[in-house]
Amino acid sequence: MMTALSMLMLGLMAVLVVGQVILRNLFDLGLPWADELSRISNIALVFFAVPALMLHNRHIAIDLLYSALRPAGKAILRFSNYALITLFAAIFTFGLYKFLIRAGKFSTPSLKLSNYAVYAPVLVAIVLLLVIAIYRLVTRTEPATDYETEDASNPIADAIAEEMADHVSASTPSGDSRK
Amino acid sequence: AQAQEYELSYGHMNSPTSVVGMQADWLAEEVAKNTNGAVKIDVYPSSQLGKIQELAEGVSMGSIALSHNTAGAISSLYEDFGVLDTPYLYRDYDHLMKVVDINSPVMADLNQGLIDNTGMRVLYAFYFGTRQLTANMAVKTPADLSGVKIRAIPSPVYLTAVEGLGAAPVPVDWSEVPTALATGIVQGQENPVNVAVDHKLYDVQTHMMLTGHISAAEIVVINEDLWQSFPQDIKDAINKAAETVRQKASKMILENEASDLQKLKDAGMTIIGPDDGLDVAAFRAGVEKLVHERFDEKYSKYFEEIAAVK
Amino acid sequence: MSATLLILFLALMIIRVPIAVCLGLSSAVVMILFNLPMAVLAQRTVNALDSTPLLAVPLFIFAANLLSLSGVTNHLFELVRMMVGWIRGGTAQVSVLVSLIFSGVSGAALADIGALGAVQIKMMRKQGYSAEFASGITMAAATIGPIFPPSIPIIIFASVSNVSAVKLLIAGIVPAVLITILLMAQVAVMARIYKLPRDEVKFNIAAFARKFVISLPALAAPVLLIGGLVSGYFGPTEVAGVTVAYALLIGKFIYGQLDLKRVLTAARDSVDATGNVLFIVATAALFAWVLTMDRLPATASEFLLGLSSDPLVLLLIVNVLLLVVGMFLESIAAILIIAPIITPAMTAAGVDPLQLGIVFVLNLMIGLLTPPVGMSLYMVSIIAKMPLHRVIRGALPFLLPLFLSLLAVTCIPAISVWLPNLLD
Ligand code: NA
Ligand code: NA
Repeated sequence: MMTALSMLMLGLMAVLVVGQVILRNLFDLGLPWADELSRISNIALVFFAVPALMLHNRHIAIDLLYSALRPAGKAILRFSNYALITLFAAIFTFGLYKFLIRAGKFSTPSLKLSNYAVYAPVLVAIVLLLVIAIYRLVTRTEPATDYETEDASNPIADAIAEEMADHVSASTPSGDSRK
Repeated sequence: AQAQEYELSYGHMNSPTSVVGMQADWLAEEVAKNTNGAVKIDVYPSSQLGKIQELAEGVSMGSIALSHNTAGAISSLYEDFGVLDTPYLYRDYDHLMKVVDINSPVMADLNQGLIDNTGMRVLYAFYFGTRQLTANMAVKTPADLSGVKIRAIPSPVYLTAVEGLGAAPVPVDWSEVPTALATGIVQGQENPVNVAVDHKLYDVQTHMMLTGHISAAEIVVINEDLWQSFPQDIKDAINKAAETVRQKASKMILENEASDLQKLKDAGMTIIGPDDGLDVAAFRAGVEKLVHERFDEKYSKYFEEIAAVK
Repeated sequence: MSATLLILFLALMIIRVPIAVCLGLSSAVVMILFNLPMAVLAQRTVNALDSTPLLAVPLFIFAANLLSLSGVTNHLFELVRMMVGWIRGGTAQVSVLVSLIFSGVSGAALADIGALGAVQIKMMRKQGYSAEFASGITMAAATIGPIFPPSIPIIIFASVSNVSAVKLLIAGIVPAVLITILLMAQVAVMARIYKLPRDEVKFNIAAFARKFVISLPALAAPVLLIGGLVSGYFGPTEVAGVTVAYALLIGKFIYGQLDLKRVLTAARDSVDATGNVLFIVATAALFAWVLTMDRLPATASEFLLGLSSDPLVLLLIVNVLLLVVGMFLESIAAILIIAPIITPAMTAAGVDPLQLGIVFVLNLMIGLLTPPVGMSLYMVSIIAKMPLHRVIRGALPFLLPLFLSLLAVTCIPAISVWLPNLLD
């Protein structure tokens, strides 16, 4: 759901950037609002992706220590990870609140969108992040990262490997952990 | 000397070697002197504390004590402020300096509105220069600009100015402007003369047209809660420093405009003024028509007050 | 304040807190301890992303994914295999050369690894290369991507340092070729020492000509993109959007491989990667803000640059600084924090900003291969399904040619500045 919104933002951004190139070169036309909207869509793209990545345990982290630990140690580290992420999301939410009560009504230069609108995706994303972190904390569950799962693979690599099967006898791709 | 009682942060987006950047350091020196070191101002130049609008929001929230910004940028926080950047608004330099004096009736009005709406106040405003058009071609009349792409700041007053001059306004991030001019993404831009010198625009532009379409003041703002927490003697000392810096910075920018223009000539740019056939009246008519259409409703009360300042 | 911040950051990193959260949480805790305004926490992170050059990140990653899904990278592989595959260590040489060609449409090392890495590693392992060697050469070759134009880190460096982005992009061409040559030399030496296999592919002029024609739209892309950039049809950030459009067009109408499902797969993978990288950039901006409030960057750069006034010595000092920074910081975040502080002092000392830009970016691209924070290491560890320590071991031998390239670019300004100065 959040990933789909992120993808929508990516599509919007691509259309706005390419649209501006076309309009400027063919019609001598500049779109100040499109420039601003493409930057706002980047903010939304990133923040929408943040809770989705957390849900699937895909944020980049250093696991040198973690991978060297026994299961009990791993469990302790996992618990403290999600406790700290919960703390971070909580402080961030508080920071957003402090920002929006003072600066929420101010608007962007071109589209005259208020900060409430620009920061709405951020608020939604960070609250979701908080919910997911608490969920992981309470249930003590965590999906495996890609290289921990035997059958995990990269959908793009799979697609290419399929085509190259004629030329290179690449191993057939197995399941996709992301779906 | 007194012990240090206040440490204030002054964040801005200019380079520390530009006049606009230097005047922040002058303020820090003057304030330290006038308060015997009781108030220390730390200056953070070059957007270290954030970008244009972020700085203004920061002063409003109190995360930054002081900053400066254009009136156009401040209008994102309090719309009425945009009036000060209206094209062809001031009769001359003296008129501008009188209008943006914090004690002028119109500035007093605007300042009260700013305090009520954003929690920051104008400490002083100084002359920032007069915006001129540059292009990689000679331009004498609005017709010469028809279909010509000119980089414009994506804010209503600036867009209106570029459109009124007769060109097609195109948004380009400031960081990419010299490149965009060099490769021809846009054919021109508009800024005060000192910007053309500081950023070596003479390398990428052949002509400067003295359209003088916007004379602008840079507005120095301070957080209101912080201001009210000062005892009267500190307020007086800061106000005194502010007036000194305002006069010094404005004069330096005004004087530099002449020498900067010479620098552009020496670097090979052709300067086109009224004597060279630049039809300033036609540009002015085009811009004023759009200004009336778009801003009369919002700003006419201020226009009258400003015209009345002698 | 800075000491507390750095210690907290490292402690969180060691216990496997996501990097973005390490940066954000350590900043947040310091802000609370030292009574800094909490509203900045939200404002700075969000505003860091409100930036035109950063749009290049999602768009370039998207473009690279589309190109590999439309079969373009596949054709490039086949073409280059026929050229050099038959020599000893051929498939490794193919990886390096394909990376150079692909760098003409790719703006980021991670996009290179995403688009090419999986296939490269699979092919090499199939032919009996060790997993360490295969992943090492893949990561090393991917550093070519962001040195050759177009390039995300170069656009971002140019924007924060007031250098012409187009000139700096052009400045990367010769250094990228140099890295390619040195990497191929290293592979040739290792091929003899470790008796690396030859590919069974045979050179056949008819098949080669056929492949060449099929690959033409891909081979022409860099020319179109650099040409369009230099002639002002689009800007350095917009080139990313144009690449997306080009990839969609050739993928759909020339190669006929792109359908909606594949475009969505590419988009999904792109937002995943973008979210990961740019969330780190966002919280790194907050981290930098806290450091700035403590005046650490200014003090540290004053100290370092005060050690000498000789441009070469200063560049060597910057190299050491950046290699250390590159160990701990994500590359875009590092550029945003350090470039604006160092550039004015370096140019004042007489260093050409174009040379500085290339030295700067190359350092940080090497940083992608150095632990503990090395984005290429993580990416390959995911793609090759290898634990991090083995991936790190694989990267080690290839640091040699990369350091040699860095040394050459540092000592010989002409490698960077000769080509762009022809533009004037
Ligand atoms: Na590239
Ligand atoms: Na590293």
